[in-house]
Amino acid sequence: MKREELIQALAARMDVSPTSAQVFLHACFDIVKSRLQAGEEVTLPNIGTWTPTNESGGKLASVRYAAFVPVNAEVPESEAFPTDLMDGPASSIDTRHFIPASALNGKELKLPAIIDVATLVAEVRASFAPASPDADSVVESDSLSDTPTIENTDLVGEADTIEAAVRADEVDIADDPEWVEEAELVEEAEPLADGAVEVDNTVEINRPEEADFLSEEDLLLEAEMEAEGYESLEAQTDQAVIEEDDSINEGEDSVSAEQQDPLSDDEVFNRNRDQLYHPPKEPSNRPLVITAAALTFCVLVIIIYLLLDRNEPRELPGSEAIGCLVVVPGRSSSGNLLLSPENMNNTFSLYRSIR
Amino acid sequence: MANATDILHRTAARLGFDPQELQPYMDAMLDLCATTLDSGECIELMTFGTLCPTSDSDAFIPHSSLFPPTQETEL
Repeated sequence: MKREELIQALAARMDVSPTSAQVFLHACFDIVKSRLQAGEEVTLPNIGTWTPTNESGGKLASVRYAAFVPVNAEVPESEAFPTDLMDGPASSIDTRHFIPASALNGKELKLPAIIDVATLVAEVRASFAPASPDADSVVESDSLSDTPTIENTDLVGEADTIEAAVRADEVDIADDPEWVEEAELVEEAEPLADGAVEVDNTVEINRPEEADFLSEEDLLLEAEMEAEGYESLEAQTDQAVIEEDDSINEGEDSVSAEQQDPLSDDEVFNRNRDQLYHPPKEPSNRPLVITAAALTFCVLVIIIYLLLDRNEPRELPGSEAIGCLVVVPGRSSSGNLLLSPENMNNTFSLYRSIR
Repeated sequence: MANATDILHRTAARLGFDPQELQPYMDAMLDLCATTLDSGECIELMTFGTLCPTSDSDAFIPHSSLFPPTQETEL
Protein backbone atom coordinates (compact mmCIF):
# COMPACT_ATOMS: atom_id res chain seq x y z
CA MET A 1 0.00 0.00 0.00
CA LYS A 2 1.52 3.26 -1.12
CA ARG A 3 1.09 6.50 0.71
CA GLU A 4 -1.47 7.70 -1.83
CA GLU A 5 -3.50 4.58 -1.32
CA LEU A 6 -3.29 5.05 2.43
CA ILE A 7 -4.55 8.63 2.06
CA GLN A 8 -7.44 7.57 -0.18
CA ALA A 9 -8.37 4.72 2.14
CA LEU A 10 -8.41 7.00 5.20
CA ALA A 11 -10.42 9.67 3.37
CA ALA A 12 -12.97 7.09 2.25
CA ARG A 13 -13.32 5.64 5.72
CA MET A 14 -13.70 9.02 7.45
CA ASP A 15 -15.77 10.48 4.59
CA VAL A 16 -13.52 13.49 4.24
CA SER A 17 -11.49 14.98 1.45
CA PRO A 18 -8.12 13.41 0.59
CA THR A 19 -6.46 16.67 1.51
CA SER A 20 -7.69 16.45 5.09
CA ALA A 21 -6.54 12.87 5.38
CA GLN A 22 -3.14 13.79 3.92
CA VAL A 23 -2.72 16.65 6.39
CA PHE A 24 -3.54 14.39 9.31
CA LEU A 25 -1.23 11.58 8.20
CA HIS A 26 1.68 13.95 7.55
CA ALA A 27 1.26 15.61 10.95
CA CYS A 28 0.90 12.29 12.75
CA PHE A 29 4.00 10.66 11.35
CA ASP A 30 6.00 13.86 11.68
CA ILE A 31 5.25 13.72 15.38
CA VAL A 32 6.40 10.08 15.44
CA LYS A 33 9.66 11.04 13.73
CA SER A 34 10.25 13.93 16.11
CA ARG A 35 9.75 11.65 19.12
CA LEU A 36 12.22 9.14 17.77
CA GLN A 37 14.74 11.86 16.98
CA ALA A 38 14.33 13.06 20.56
CA GLY A 39 15.35 9.59 21.74
CA GLU A 40 11.88 8.49 22.86
CA GLU A 41 10.44 5.08 22.14
CA VAL A 42 7.20 5.04 20.16
CA THR A 43 4.53 2.35 20.36
CA LEU A 44 1.48 2.13 18.10
CA PRO A 45 -1.15 -0.49 18.96
CA ASN A 46 -1.55 -3.38 16.53
CA ILE A 47 1.47 -2.11 14.59
CA GLY A 48 4.60 -2.32 16.73
CA THR A 49 7.28 -0.50 18.68
CA TRP A 50 10.14 1.65 17.41
CA THR A 51 13.20 2.04 19.62
CA PRO A 52 15.74 4.72 18.69
CA THR A 53 19.49 4.45 19.09
CA ASN A 54 21.29 7.74 19.45
CA GLU A 55 24.92 8.57 18.78
CA SER A 56 27.24 10.15 21.28
CA GLY A 57 26.25 13.57 20.03
CA GLY A 58 22.59 12.89 20.65
CA LYS A 59 21.70 12.44 16.98
CA LEU A 60 19.57 9.56 15.85
CA ALA A 61 21.73 6.71 14.60
CA SER A 62 19.31 3.88 13.97
CA VAL A 63 15.79 2.70 14.71
CA ARG A 64 14.90 -0.78 15.82
CA TYR A 65 11.41 -2.04 15.01
CA ALA A 66 9.59 -4.72 16.97
CA ALA A 67 6.41 -6.03 15.43
CA PHE A 68 3.23 -6.27 17.48
CA VAL A 69 2.49 -9.76 18.85
CA PRO A 70 -1.22 -10.61 19.32
CA VAL A 71 -2.41 -12.03 22.66
CA ASN A 72 -3.67 -15.30 21.24
CA ALA A 73 -0.46 -16.05 19.46
CA GLU A 74 1.50 -19.11 20.49
CA VAL A 75 4.20 -18.18 22.91
CA PRO A 76 7.56 -19.79 22.24
CA GLU A 77 8.56 -22.40 24.75
CA SER A 78 11.51 -20.34 25.88
CA GLU A 79 9.23 -17.46 26.77
CA ALA A 80 6.41 -19.55 28.21
CA PHE A 81 5.50 -19.24 31.87
CA PRO A 82 7.50 -21.72 33.93
CA THR A 83 5.16 -24.53 34.86
CA ASP A 84 7.26 -25.82 37.71
CA LEU A 85 6.17 -22.89 39.83
CA MET A 86 2.49 -23.77 39.66
CA ASP A 87 2.64 -26.53 42.24
CA GLY A 88 4.21 -24.41 44.92
CA PRO A 89 2.62 -21.86 47.24
CA ALA A 90 1.81 -18.36 46.08
CA SER A 91 5.11 -17.01 47.31
CA SER A 92 7.00 -19.00 44.74
CA ILE A 93 5.23 -17.39 41.80
CA ASP A 94 7.08 -14.57 40.09
CA THR A 95 6.31 -10.98 40.65
CA ARG A 96 3.98 -10.73 37.70
CA HIS A 97 1.37 -12.72 39.61
CA PHE A 98 -0.18 -13.75 36.35
CA ILE A 99 -0.58 -17.21 34.92
CA PRO A 100 -1.48 -17.13 31.24
CA ALA A 101 -3.97 -19.64 29.99
CA SER A 102 -1.37 -21.17 27.70
CA ALA A 103 0.79 -22.00 30.71
CA LEU A 104 -1.88 -24.14 32.32
CA ASN A 105 -1.84 -26.62 29.43
CA GLY A 106 -4.71 -28.55 30.81
CA LYS A 107 -3.21 -28.99 34.26
CA GLU A 108 -5.70 -29.43 37.06
CA LEU A 109 -5.13 -27.13 39.95
CA LYS A 110 -5.23 -28.69 43.40
CA LEU A 111 -8.34 -27.37 45.07
CA PRO A 112 -9.12 -27.88 48.76
CA ALA A 113 -11.47 -30.76 49.54
CA ILE A 114 -15.11 -29.92 50.19
CA ILE A 115 -15.87 -29.88 53.92
CA ASP A 116 -18.87 -31.89 55.09
CA VAL A 117 -20.35 -29.30 57.41
CA ALA A 118 -23.22 -31.53 58.57
CA THR A 119 -20.78 -34.11 59.83
CA LEU A 120 -18.71 -31.45 61.49
CA VAL A 121 -21.73 -30.00 63.28
CA ALA A 122 -22.78 -33.42 64.55
CA GLU A 123 -19.32 -34.05 65.88
CA VAL A 124 -19.17 -30.73 67.66
CA ARG A 125 -22.55 -31.24 69.29
CA ALA A 126 -21.67 -34.74 70.34
CA SER A 127 -18.44 -33.57 71.87
CA PHE A 128 -19.78 -30.55 73.70
CA ALA A 129 -23.27 -31.71 74.61
CA PRO A 130 -24.41 -29.73 77.72
CA ALA A 131 -27.08 -32.22 78.90
CA SER A 132 -24.86 -34.65 80.80
CA PRO A 133 -25.81 -36.06 84.25
CA ASP A 134 -22.29 -35.71 85.61
CA ALA A 135 -20.88 -32.29 84.87
CA ASP A 136 -17.38 -33.27 85.90
CA SER A 137 -17.24 -36.27 83.67
CA VAL A 138 -14.86 -36.19 80.77
CA VAL A 139 -16.37 -36.25 77.31
CA GLU A 140 -15.62 -39.48 75.56
CA SER A 141 -14.09 -39.35 72.16
CA ASP A 142 -15.50 -42.55 70.78
CA SER A 143 -18.17 -40.60 68.94
CA LEU A 144 -15.61 -39.34 66.49
CA SER A 145 -14.54 -42.79 65.45
CA ASP A 146 -18.12 -43.80 64.54
CA THR A 147 -18.80 -40.78 62.38
CA PRO A 148 -17.57 -40.44 58.77
CA THR A 149 -14.10 -39.10 58.39
CA ILE A 150 -13.56 -35.51 57.55
CA GLU A 151 -11.72 -34.80 54.37
CA ASN A 152 -10.01 -31.71 55.72
CA THR A 153 -7.17 -32.93 57.86
CA ASP A 154 -6.76 -29.62 59.63
CA LEU A 155 -10.13 -29.89 61.34
CA VAL A 156 -9.39 -33.41 62.51
CA GLY A 157 -6.20 -32.18 64.07
CA GLU A 158 -8.10 -29.47 65.89
CA ALA A 159 -10.64 -31.95 67.26
CA ASP A 160 -7.91 -34.13 68.60
CA THR A 161 -6.41 -31.20 70.39
CA ILE A 162 -9.75 -30.36 72.04
CA GLU A 163 -10.24 -33.96 73.07
CA ALA A 164 -6.84 -34.06 74.66
CA ALA A 165 -7.63 -30.93 76.61
CA VAL A 166 -10.91 -32.42 77.80
CA ARG A 167 -9.27 -35.61 78.87
CA ALA A 168 -6.73 -33.67 80.86
CA ASP A 169 -9.63 -31.89 82.59
CA GLU A 170 -8.19 -28.55 81.59
CA VAL A 171 -11.44 -27.29 80.13
CA ASP A 172 -14.83 -28.01 81.63
CA ILE A 173 -16.87 -27.78 78.51
CA ALA A 174 -20.24 -28.65 79.98
CA ASP A 175 -20.27 -25.62 82.27
CA ASP A 176 -18.62 -23.20 79.86
CA PRO A 177 -21.40 -21.22 78.23
CA GLU A 178 -19.27 -20.18 75.26
CA TRP A 179 -19.02 -23.73 73.92
CA VAL A 180 -22.72 -24.28 74.38
CA GLU A 181 -23.48 -21.06 72.62
CA GLU A 182 -21.29 -21.84 69.64
CA ALA A 183 -22.73 -25.32 69.34
CA GLU A 184 -26.23 -23.91 69.21
CA LEU A 185 -25.27 -21.37 66.59
CA VAL A 186 -24.60 -23.93 63.90
CA GLU A 187 -27.82 -25.38 62.63
CA GLU A 188 -28.20 -28.39 60.44
CA ALA A 189 -29.42 -27.65 56.94
CA GLU A 190 -30.59 -29.69 54.02
CA PRO A 191 -27.55 -31.15 52.29
CA LEU A 192 -26.96 -29.90 48.80
CA ALA A 193 -25.43 -31.78 45.89
CA ASP A 194 -22.06 -33.41 46.36
CA GLY A 195 -22.25 -33.15 50.10
CA ALA A 196 -21.90 -29.37 50.18
CA VAL A 197 -23.99 -27.87 52.96
CA GLU A 198 -25.04 -24.30 53.53
CA VAL A 199 -25.10 -23.16 57.15
CA ASP A 200 -27.74 -20.65 58.21
CA ASN A 201 -26.34 -18.35 60.86
CA THR A 202 -29.62 -16.60 61.72
CA VAL A 203 -30.46 -18.81 64.70
CA GLU A 204 -31.44 -17.00 67.91
CA ILE A 205 -29.43 -17.76 70.98
CA ASN A 206 -31.34 -18.94 74.07
CA ARG A 207 -29.45 -17.65 77.06
CA PRO A 208 -29.13 -20.04 79.95
CA GLU A 209 -29.69 -19.17 83.60
CA GLU A 210 -28.24 -15.94 84.82
CA ALA A 211 -26.24 -17.62 87.53
CA ASP A 212 -24.12 -19.34 84.92
CA PHE A 213 -22.84 -15.99 83.63
CA LEU A 214 -21.87 -14.48 86.94
CA SER A 215 -18.14 -14.54 87.30
CA GLU A 216 -16.29 -14.77 90.52
CA GLU A 217 -15.86 -11.03 90.63
CA ASP A 218 -19.58 -10.47 90.34
CA LEU A 219 -20.24 -12.94 93.11
CA LEU A 220 -17.75 -11.21 95.38
CA LEU A 221 -19.26 -7.84 94.57
CA GLU A 222 -22.72 -9.12 95.41
CA ALA A 223 -21.50 -10.49 98.69
CA GLU A 224 -19.95 -7.18 99.63
CA MET A 225 -23.08 -5.26 98.73
CA GLU A 226 -25.24 -7.55 100.80
CA ALA A 227 -22.88 -7.17 103.72
CA GLU A 228 -23.12 -3.40 103.47
CA GLY A 229 -26.85 -3.48 103.29
CA TYR A 230 -27.24 -2.63 99.61
CA GLU A 231 -29.54 -4.56 97.41
CA SER A 232 -27.89 -7.17 95.27
CA LEU A 233 -27.38 -6.59 91.63
CA GLU A 234 -30.09 -9.03 90.85
CA ALA A 235 -32.59 -7.24 93.06
CA GLN A 236 -31.71 -3.88 91.56
CA THR A 237 -32.20 -5.12 88.08
CA ASP A 238 -35.42 -6.80 89.10
CA GLN A 239 -36.77 -3.51 90.44
CA ALA A 240 -35.71 -1.67 87.31
CA VAL A 241 -37.34 -4.23 85.12
CA ILE A 242 -40.57 -4.09 87.15
CA GLU A 243 -40.67 -0.31 86.76
CA GLU A 244 -40.06 -0.58 83.06
CA ASP A 245 -42.74 -3.18 82.65
CA ASP A 246 -45.29 -0.70 83.96
CA SER A 247 -44.42 1.75 81.23
CA ILE A 248 -44.14 -0.82 78.45
CA ASN A 249 -47.23 -2.06 76.60
CA GLU A 250 -48.65 -5.26 77.97
CA GLY A 251 -48.86 -6.86 74.56
CA GLU A 252 -45.09 -6.94 74.18
CA ASP A 253 -43.14 -10.04 75.09
CA SER A 254 -40.63 -9.10 77.75
CA VAL A 255 -38.23 -11.16 79.80
CA SER A 256 -39.28 -11.62 83.43
CA ALA A 257 -37.44 -9.77 86.14
CA GLU A 258 -36.04 -12.94 87.63
CA GLN A 259 -34.43 -14.03 84.41
CA GLN A 260 -33.23 -10.55 83.36
CA ASP A 261 -29.56 -10.00 83.35
CA PRO A 262 -28.40 -6.52 84.44
CA LEU A 263 -25.90 -6.57 81.63
CA SER A 264 -28.17 -8.05 78.99
CA ASP A 265 -29.05 -6.23 75.84
CA ASP A 266 -32.72 -6.10 76.82
CA GLU A 267 -31.95 -4.32 80.05
CA VAL A 268 -29.79 -1.76 78.34
CA PHE A 269 -32.38 -1.25 75.64
CA ASN A 270 -35.19 -0.77 78.13
CA ARG A 271 -33.12 1.66 80.15
CA ASN A 272 -32.27 3.69 77.10
CA ARG A 273 -35.85 3.70 75.92
CA ASP A 274 -37.05 4.88 79.31
CA GLN A 275 -34.61 7.74 79.19
CA LEU A 276 -35.76 8.58 75.72
CA TYR A 277 -39.46 8.87 76.62
CA HIS A 278 -38.90 10.24 80.12
CA PRO A 279 -35.81 12.34 79.88
CA PRO A 280 -34.41 13.89 83.06
CA LYS A 281 -35.29 17.50 83.72
CA GLU A 282 -32.54 19.86 82.75
CA PRO A 283 -31.84 22.96 84.88
CA SER A 284 -33.57 26.04 83.45
CA ASN A 285 -31.66 28.97 82.13
CA ARG A 286 -34.27 31.58 82.98
CA PRO A 287 -32.19 33.61 85.52
CA LEU A 288 -29.33 33.85 83.06
CA VAL A 289 -31.65 35.00 80.29
CA ILE A 290 -33.21 37.67 82.46
CA THR A 291 -29.83 38.99 83.56
CA ALA A 292 -28.56 39.14 80.01
CA ALA A 293 -31.66 41.01 78.85
CA ALA A 294 -31.34 43.54 81.67
CA LEU A 295 -27.70 44.20 80.91
CA THR A 296 -28.46 44.60 77.23
CA PHE A 297 -31.25 47.05 78.02
CA CYS A 298 -28.94 49.14 80.22
CA VAL A 299 -26.28 49.27 77.55
CA LEU A 300 -28.83 50.36 74.96
CA VAL A 301 -30.10 53.11 77.25
CA ILE A 302 -26.60 54.42 77.76
CA ILE A 303 -25.91 54.41 74.04
CA ILE A 304 -29.15 56.22 73.24
CA TYR A 305 -28.48 58.80 75.96
CA LEU A 306 -25.06 59.49 74.58
CA LEU A 307 -26.36 59.86 71.06
CA LEU A 308 -29.26 62.16 71.87
CA ASP A 309 -27.59 64.40 74.44
CA ARG A 310 -25.93 67.12 72.31
CA ASN A 311 -26.27 70.09 74.70
CA GLU A 312 -22.96 69.63 76.36
CA PRO A 313 -20.04 70.32 74.15
CA ARG A 314 -17.72 67.49 73.51
CA GLU A 315 -14.04 67.68 74.08
CA LEU A 316 -12.82 66.12 70.84
CA PRO A 317 -9.41 66.64 69.36
CA GLY A 318 -9.32 69.58 67.05
CA SER A 319 -12.29 71.37 68.59
CA GLU A 320 -11.96 74.49 70.67
CA ALA A 321 -11.78 73.77 74.32
CA ILE A 322 -13.55 75.88 76.86
CA GLY A 323 -11.47 77.40 79.57
CA CYS A 324 -8.14 77.09 77.85
CA LEU A 325 -5.57 79.67 78.55
CA VAL A 326 -5.31 82.48 76.05
CA VAL A 327 -3.32 85.63 75.97
CA VAL A 328 -5.28 88.25 77.81
CA PRO A 329 -4.20 91.70 78.82
CA GLY A 330 -2.66 91.85 82.16
CA ARG A 331 0.49 90.25 83.18
CA SER A 332 2.24 90.17 86.39
CA SER A 333 5.68 91.44 86.93
CA SER A 334 7.12 88.03 86.29
CA GLY A 335 5.27 87.74 83.02
CA ASN A 336 2.78 85.19 84.23
CA LEU A 337 -0.74 85.39 83.11
CA LEU A 338 -3.24 86.86 85.48
CA LEU A 339 -6.42 84.82 85.40
CA SER A 340 -8.69 87.05 87.30
CA PRO A 341 -12.36 86.40 87.28
CA GLU A 342 -12.85 89.40 85.01
CA ASN A 343 -10.32 88.12 82.57
CA MET A 344 -11.92 84.71 82.65
CA ASN A 345 -15.28 86.15 81.90
CA ASN A 346 -13.86 88.15 79.06
CA THR A 347 -12.26 85.01 77.75
CA PHE A 348 -15.45 83.06 77.80
CA SER A 349 -17.34 85.88 76.16
CA LEU A 350 -14.67 85.97 73.48
CA TYR A 351 -15.13 82.28 72.79
CA ARG A 352 -18.88 82.65 72.61
CA SER A 353 -18.59 85.44 70.12
CA ILE A 354 -16.27 83.35 67.94
CA ARG A 355 -18.76 80.52 67.97
CA MET B 1 7.75 6.08 25.93
CA ALA B 2 5.24 7.70 23.59
CA ASN B 3 2.05 5.82 22.89
CA ALA B 4 -0.83 6.46 20.53
CA THR B 5 -2.49 8.86 22.95
CA ASP B 6 0.61 11.03 23.20
CA ILE B 7 0.97 11.07 19.43
CA LEU B 8 -2.69 12.02 19.08
CA HIS B 9 -2.44 14.91 21.53
CA ARG B 10 0.68 16.27 19.89
CA THR B 11 -0.87 15.99 16.46
CA ALA B 12 -3.99 17.77 17.62
CA ALA B 13 -1.89 20.53 19.16
CA ARG B 14 0.04 20.95 15.93
CA LEU B 15 -3.08 21.10 13.78
CA GLY B 16 -5.04 23.22 16.25
CA PHE B 17 -7.79 20.69 16.89
CA ASP B 18 -9.26 19.01 19.93
CA PRO B 19 -7.79 15.55 20.54
CA GLN B 20 -11.28 14.09 20.76
CA GLU B 21 -12.01 15.34 17.25
CA LEU B 22 -8.97 13.58 15.83
CA GLN B 23 -9.48 10.36 17.79
CA PRO B 24 -11.56 8.75 14.99
CA TYR B 25 -8.84 9.61 12.48
CA MET B 26 -6.21 7.93 14.64
CA ASP B 27 -8.35 4.86 15.18
CA ALA B 28 -9.06 4.55 11.45
CA MET B 29 -5.39 4.95 10.54
CA LEU B 30 -4.29 2.31 13.06
CA ASP B 31 -6.99 -0.04 11.87
CA LEU B 32 -5.95 0.39 8.24
CA CYS B 33 -2.31 -0.24 9.08
CA ALA B 34 -3.10 -3.32 11.18
CA THR B 35 -5.37 -4.76 8.50
CA THR B 36 -2.75 -4.21 5.82
CA LEU B 37 -0.03 -5.81 7.90
CA ASP B 38 -2.20 -8.80 8.77
CA SER B 39 -2.79 -9.40 5.10
CA GLY B 40 0.97 -9.56 4.58
CA GLU B 41 1.14 -6.42 2.47
CA CYS B 42 3.76 -3.71 2.87
CA ILE B 43 2.55 -0.27 3.83
CA GLU B 44 4.28 3.07 3.35
CA LEU B 45 3.83 5.28 6.40
CA MET B 46 4.13 8.63 4.61
CA THR B 47 7.64 10.08 5.18
CA PHE B 48 8.29 7.93 8.22
CA GLY B 49 9.17 4.62 6.64
CA THR B 50 7.84 1.43 5.12
CA LEU B 51 6.66 -1.63 6.99
CA CYS B 52 7.11 -5.03 5.37
CA PRO B 53 5.88 -7.79 7.64
CA THR B 54 6.97 -10.62 5.34
CA SER B 55 10.61 -9.63 5.40
CA ASP B 56 12.37 -10.62 8.60
CA SER B 57 15.57 -8.63 8.06
CA ASP B 58 14.01 -5.47 6.71
CA ALA B 59 10.73 -5.38 8.56
CA PHE B 60 10.92 -1.58 8.76
CA ILE B 61 12.66 0.56 6.18
CA PRO B 62 13.09 4.09 7.55
CA HIS B 63 12.73 7.09 5.34
CA SER B 64 15.84 9.10 4.61
CA SER B 65 14.40 12.15 6.35
CA LEU B 66 14.28 10.29 9.65
CA PHE B 67 18.05 10.52 10.18
CA PRO B 68 20.10 13.72 10.24
CA PRO B 69 22.02 14.51 7.06
CA THR B 70 25.67 13.46 6.98
CA GLN B 71 28.59 15.23 5.34
CA GLU B 72 28.37 12.90 2.33
CA THR B 73 24.71 13.65 1.71
CA GLU B 74 25.23 17.33 2.17
CA LEU B 75 27.97 17.37 -0.40
